[in-house]
Amino acid sequence: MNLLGELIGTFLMFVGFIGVLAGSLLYRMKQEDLGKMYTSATMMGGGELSDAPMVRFLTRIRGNDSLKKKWAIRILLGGLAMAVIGAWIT
Amino acid sequence: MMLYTAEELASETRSLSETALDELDRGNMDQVRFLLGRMSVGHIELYFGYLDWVTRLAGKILRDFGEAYFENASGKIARFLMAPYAEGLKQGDEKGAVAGIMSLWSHQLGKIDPLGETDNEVAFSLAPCGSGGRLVLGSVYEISPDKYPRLRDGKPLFCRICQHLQGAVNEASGKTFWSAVPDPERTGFCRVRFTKHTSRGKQLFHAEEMYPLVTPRCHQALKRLQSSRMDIQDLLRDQHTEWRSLHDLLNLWVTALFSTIYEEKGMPYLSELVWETYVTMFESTYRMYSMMETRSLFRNLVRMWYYHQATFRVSEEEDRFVFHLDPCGSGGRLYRGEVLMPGVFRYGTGMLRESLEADDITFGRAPFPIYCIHCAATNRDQFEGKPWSFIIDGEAMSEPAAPCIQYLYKKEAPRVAPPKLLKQVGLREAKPLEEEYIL
Repeated sequence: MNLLGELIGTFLMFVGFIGVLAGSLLYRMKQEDLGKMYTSATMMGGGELSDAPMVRFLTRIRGNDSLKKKWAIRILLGGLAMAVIGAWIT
Repeated sequence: MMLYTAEELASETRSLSETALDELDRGNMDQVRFLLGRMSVGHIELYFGYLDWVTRLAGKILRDFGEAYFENASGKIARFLMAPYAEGLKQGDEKGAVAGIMSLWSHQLGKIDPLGETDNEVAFSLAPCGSGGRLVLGSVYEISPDKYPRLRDGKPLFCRICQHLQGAVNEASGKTFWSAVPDPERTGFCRVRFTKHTSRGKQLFHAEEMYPLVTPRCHQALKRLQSSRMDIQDLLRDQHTEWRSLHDLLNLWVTALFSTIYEEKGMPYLSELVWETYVTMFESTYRMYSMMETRSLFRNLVRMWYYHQATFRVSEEEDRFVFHLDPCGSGGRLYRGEVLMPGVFRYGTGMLRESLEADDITFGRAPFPIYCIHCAATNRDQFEGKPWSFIIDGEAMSEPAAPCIQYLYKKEAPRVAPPKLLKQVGLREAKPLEEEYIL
């Protein structure tokens, strides 16, 4: 049980770290960079109603900096929470 | 099934630059910044597509006919394409020549650092180069050496084509003016030098002139917004035409090579060349067509046509969208003699030839503008079991003044091809969509 707990805790800390990183990056990301990412992600046939989750997400936060920041903070806090829970479990 | 009302269709067929101008008027600056990002890479797949195609074409003739043949063909094409650039240089316009050549590089989606100007030269660092450097950094010569072979001395193929262009300018102007040398310390980086002759000792570019020379308009617009300037309308308007000279140069390179191959190797080899180098590249388009829904495909195609330099309008039918290209931005503009420098590059002059034999890759027409053979080849490919993502009516532009017609079939539409279109590419019926494209 102890080993399993450490395994789960370490995994949660890792995912949490990725979440914190992704949230911080998204928070700092400029709208123009989102635009570039959007065109690249939809290159060769993509578009605004693409089925790809990445494109759907980009479509939601494009051209709306406050929504983008809200999402960034959510991801960051979620990651932080996961990391704390992971540390507590281990 | 109709997807749009007339008003919606009109709105959907606007260019990104028009949309950005409207958002600017409304003061929606987040949206303007987002659109600027999109526009800054609006030509990404067209440019990378051309870059890959040119290199694959060169790769195939290198493989099939050897290095001497490639050197001769590439050198001849370079002399043909660069002659107008060298003309101004011969008359002493070194500043114009530097600006003209750098305008090609500045849209290659690579970074350019000005290295400064001395009494003897103007120098830039391509950091990295967006064409030859990108192919090297992408390891295409190692990943697919059959499609992207290197020369015997190890030189990357596209870099050799670039050297031919430099050599052609220098030869025609009678002086060593333009050189580009790969940076030995950084892969994919290159140093470009323009040696001054008639302007030796004179300052050609002031700092404020150098900046727009190497900075695409979207980046200039973002810079202005950062310094709280809102006067970016001039940078947004028709931004999709900004990379036109590079687009046209690549288009002409392909056409000149097709013309040479047609004359020297005949129609069967030309057909093999276009099937092997171009039709195979359409595979990624088919995959994406399978994955995306119709509205997305339509919007993407609208963007592509703008960045492909087309002038067009769109109508919707039950089973397809009809793009009336008047003209198409590549083959159509070339057919009308409007490419690169209006009136300078025309079929029947210099190296540019029309095909004189009717064939499946000429939509059964003769004479036929040779650049457009790739559209006939992909038409046939699509009718033979691929998604109908880009079907052309090969008879529409029967003469230069007529518009070309392109269809995007809706994914929900039954797979029924007009007999006229099948006949144009030598088929009687269309095959069902191959299973691998049904998702």
